[in-house]
Amino acid sequence: MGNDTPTHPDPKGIFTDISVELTGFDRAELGGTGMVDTYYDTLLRMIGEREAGQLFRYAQEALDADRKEQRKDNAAFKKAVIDNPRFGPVALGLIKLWYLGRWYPLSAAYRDRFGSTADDVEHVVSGQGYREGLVWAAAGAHPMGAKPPGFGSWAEPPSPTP
Amino acid sequence: MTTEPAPIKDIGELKAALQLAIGLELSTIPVYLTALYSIKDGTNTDAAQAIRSVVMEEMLHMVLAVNVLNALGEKPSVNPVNFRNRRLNPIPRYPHTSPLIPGIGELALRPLTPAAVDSFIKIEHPYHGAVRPDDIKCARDAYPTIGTFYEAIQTALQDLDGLHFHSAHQVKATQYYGGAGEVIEVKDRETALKAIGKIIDEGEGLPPNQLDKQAKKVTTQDKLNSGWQMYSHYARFRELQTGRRYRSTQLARETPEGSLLLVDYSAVHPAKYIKLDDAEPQDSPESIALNEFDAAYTQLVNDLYLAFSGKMKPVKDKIAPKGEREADPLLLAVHGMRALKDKAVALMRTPNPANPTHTLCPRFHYASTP
Repeated sequence: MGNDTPTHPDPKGIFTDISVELTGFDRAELGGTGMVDTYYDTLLRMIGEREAGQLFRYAQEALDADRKEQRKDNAAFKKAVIDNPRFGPVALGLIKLWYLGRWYPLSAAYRDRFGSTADDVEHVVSGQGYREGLVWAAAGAHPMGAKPPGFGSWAEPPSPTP
Repeated sequence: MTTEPAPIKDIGELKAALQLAIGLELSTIPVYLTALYSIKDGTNTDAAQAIRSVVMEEMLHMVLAVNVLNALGEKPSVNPVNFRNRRLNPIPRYPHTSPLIPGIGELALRPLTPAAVDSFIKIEHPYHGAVRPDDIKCARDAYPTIGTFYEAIQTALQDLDGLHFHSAHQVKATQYYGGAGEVIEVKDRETALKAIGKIIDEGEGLPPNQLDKQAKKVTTQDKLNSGWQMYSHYARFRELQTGRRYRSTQLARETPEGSLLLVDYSAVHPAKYIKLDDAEPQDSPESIALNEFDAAYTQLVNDLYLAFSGKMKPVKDKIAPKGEREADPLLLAVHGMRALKDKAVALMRTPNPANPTHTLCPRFHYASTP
């Protein structure tokens, strides 16, 4: 699992690093879905650019701190993003987005405190998002109706990614 | 400088030539697949169909060569073979220039680009782009063209004394195959010649006189149920190269002047092949993904060769008694081919950190090939 940050980080690079942290899939695996650009845009649509900028800033600082201290449990990231009432619900939404290709609205408690955008409703982001959902790779399965694994493959046990 | 290539002199040499023929057919597939898989979803449908149809036939040709070799009592093998004092690997490492058939030029893995299509034409042209076969520089123990190579095999099958054919480990037409032509089971000299004839007739090793025939003329066998007519590989790629279809009356050597064939070279993943030796540090996520692809390709090739030798493969299965059962490796290989496509596409979507305008390119490196 590589979490290298380029020396001159760009927002999409930070978004990728956050996604690596949240999903447990590495940079190449996420890039391979072809969804990085789409989900980056989705996040900006859901919480707005100003709020996304704040998320990226705090996440980046925390990831840098964790790397500097060589912490395996990434405690700084956990504190700054996951356990933070401002970014935690967004992180949860991103995990669901990567795994299911679907955006689930932020919780009412979050909206009450931090506001909401009109687009923040449940929706399937794209057909490709469904096909490339990480849930299939994690389960060693394939998306129904896409990426057909071949005649008789249903007789073989699933082969999860190594 | 060319002298006639030496004829195949005995059974041992014929068997070695067939091992290399199997490898030759296999070695073109990654070249075409890299271009095919680089095409972005939902674009370039005609170009994709043309490349895919050729790949299907290369797979058929590989199986036909396998059936002939098995009928001679020799198992197909991935191991290097001795052919005229040279030790040759049937499965190449890319980029690859065949020492056996230098005329083909370099086999390189590229996304769909005009240069890639030019290289396809070079592979499939009777003289590999040369005006005359004599123009191809070639040692006497090698072959200038694929055509002369298969001709030598044909002559050997016809003339060599002491060839014993028996129907062993034949790959049969039991699985779905959506391409042109059909598997020929080899049981005697006649069917062996028919199998090699099919390879020559469909594509590689296109007889030079075919250039003076109608580009779109096909045998009934090369007409699919869908009505698609699978004319020669050369003609199909020539249409891709020129962006025009042949008119039905045109000869293969002419420039296609029919309707437009729309090829959009911008709707292609910008994959760039990096040689194995030049690869990034081995622990980067990108290197891991590239290595995983090579491992999957290696396993697929191993399953194929296991199937070609008529063996079953033991696989782990929790519900089976003793936790293991036997599976048909050919079926596993087919599953592997489907999985390989998804892996290839994933690589070609992944930016190369060292060169962000390009994405990764599958290497199709077979692990045991040095």
